[in-house]
Amino acid sequence: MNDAELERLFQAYHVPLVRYLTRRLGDRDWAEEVAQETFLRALRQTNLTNERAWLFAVATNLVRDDARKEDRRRQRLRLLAEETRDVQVESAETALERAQEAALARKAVDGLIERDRLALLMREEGLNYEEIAEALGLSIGSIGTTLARARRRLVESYEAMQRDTQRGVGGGHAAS
Amino acid sequence: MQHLDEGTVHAWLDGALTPNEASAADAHVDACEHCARAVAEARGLIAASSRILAALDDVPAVQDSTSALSFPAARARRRTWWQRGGIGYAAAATALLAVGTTLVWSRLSPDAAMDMRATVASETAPLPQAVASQPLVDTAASRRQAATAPPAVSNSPRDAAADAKNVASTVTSVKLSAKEPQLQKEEFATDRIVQLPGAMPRPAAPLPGAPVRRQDDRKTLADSAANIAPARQAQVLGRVLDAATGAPVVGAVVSVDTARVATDSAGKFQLQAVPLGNQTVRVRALGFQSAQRPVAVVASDSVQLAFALQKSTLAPEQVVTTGQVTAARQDRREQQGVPREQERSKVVTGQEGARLSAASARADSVAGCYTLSRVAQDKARDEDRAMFASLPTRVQLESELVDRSRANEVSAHRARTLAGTARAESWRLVGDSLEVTLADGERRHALRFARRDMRWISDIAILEPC
Repeated sequence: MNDAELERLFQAYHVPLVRYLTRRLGDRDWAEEVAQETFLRALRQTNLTNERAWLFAVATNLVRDDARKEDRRRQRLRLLAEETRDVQVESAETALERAQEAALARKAVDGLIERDRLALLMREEGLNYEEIAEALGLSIGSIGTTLARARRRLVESYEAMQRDTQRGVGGGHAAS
Repeated sequence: MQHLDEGTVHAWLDGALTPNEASAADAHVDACEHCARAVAEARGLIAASSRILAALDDVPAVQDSTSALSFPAARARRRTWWQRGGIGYAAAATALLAVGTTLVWSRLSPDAAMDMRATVASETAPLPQAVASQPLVDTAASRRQAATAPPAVSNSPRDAAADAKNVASTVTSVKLSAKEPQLQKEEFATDRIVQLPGAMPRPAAPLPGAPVRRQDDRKTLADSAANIAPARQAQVLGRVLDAATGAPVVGAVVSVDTARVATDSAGKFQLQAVPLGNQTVRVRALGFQSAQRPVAVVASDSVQLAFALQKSTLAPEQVVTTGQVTAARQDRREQQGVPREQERSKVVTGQEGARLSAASARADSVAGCYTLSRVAQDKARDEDRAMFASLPTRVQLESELVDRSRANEVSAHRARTLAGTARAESWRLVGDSLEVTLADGERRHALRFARRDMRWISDIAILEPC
């Protein structure tokens, strides 16, 4: 693949790929590293027939293989600890609420089975059913069912957690 | 015919069925109430899961230290919510909203393409030299929107068909009827598209911990990014007119890629920061057939855009709405002193009993973003009840004309979204405002909107308790 090809590929898919990976990993730096690695691998390819499916499949496999996970996690915890201090300084109810939403969303997404999660995240980045099927090695006919199940479970578990949280908040509020 | 299974419903809404399958599904849903309900629910689930996933995007990252490859758009996203403190709640809420609504919009598009078959009936007219239009989306919002919204994809067969149709109509240069005098007479001065200065990327820096042997590769990649970054965006300007009367269409939503604006009172629009390359400009307005046209956005060339929209033959009975409540709110902690009103964004959820009346508009009226009100307070938490009761609540809704037959569906969907359909029972124009009566399955609401931009003016009444 030549530089012009790579540029085109990068321009077309970098943003969605990083977003996909960030949502998958919960860590943007890690996501960007994986995305870069993915593009580097694309550079070594001579012929990519279904480039988007290829990129998302390679990125997904890289995540699976990533051995630096533990290191990354440690670094991330450290950063989180630092940032939590900032949060408290700037604390606003809205901000906290959003943080809670993000945390609930993370939990809900993590609660999905891997295949459902990946299919849904890919679909969110605009991959069509053929591409998702190719990237995940599934049959096209099963994608609709997979996505339907993923969406339902995601929304239902999010809502269930939201209810629990609010019951907790409500009780605390009544007591105060 | 058997009922549609859930997977098929999702595949249909995702535009993944073949044209034959899709029209079979369409026909079945039209006739089957059970499946119509399933479709409404699936639509809600799709919108809700998009929003839940979008909440994941506010992930902390090491600030601006690692990648030289991030485009400015990607970089903007790296500012996490607590780092945006200076923007203020309103802007943050707007931004959040823009993201949510865009996601929903793109989710809805296959369906919309079905209902409002796109026809471009316009000559390509040169652009006016200076189009003084004010984009509705503020800069922060559009930045965020551009950064987080998924790219527009037309992978639906219907979309593809519409695209093909549009290409054809552009090539054959559809002849306008004699009823469109203004459009034909309009003489625009040709001008070049103003190009926005592209943001220069940071100098290439190796990633911490990156293996040394990849240094060259990474540099190459970073250089590539540097080469393509400067001239990535341009403005697109133009105008949207009613094909029948030549009158400007106000509040039509024009979108390219992830950027969206509404037309102003002269029907003009101005899209900032449109990525270069082959793009599709889409125009939607309630009461009109949507239109889209492929354009090549080139930095040093001008794109000429004028749309003439045909009236939609669909009855404007239903809209799909999705949105988020923003309420002004008194901060408890300041009750002793001067109450401070605080803009607070509140996600509407079904189980809180928050119900919204949806907006609609009449066929010859306008489309776009709606600001309107009413949240039922019966099951809301104390705090929320106070919040919604004491001060005006605004609900930003994105509405999309759906279909004439699937009536009486309000699946107030949940999680982070309110999506569903509501039926507009009647409407009338009173001066500059539009009075709409809506039924959301439980109550009928009468609401007044400004005709120009569909901003909510007031509630007139709740006509019937449920």
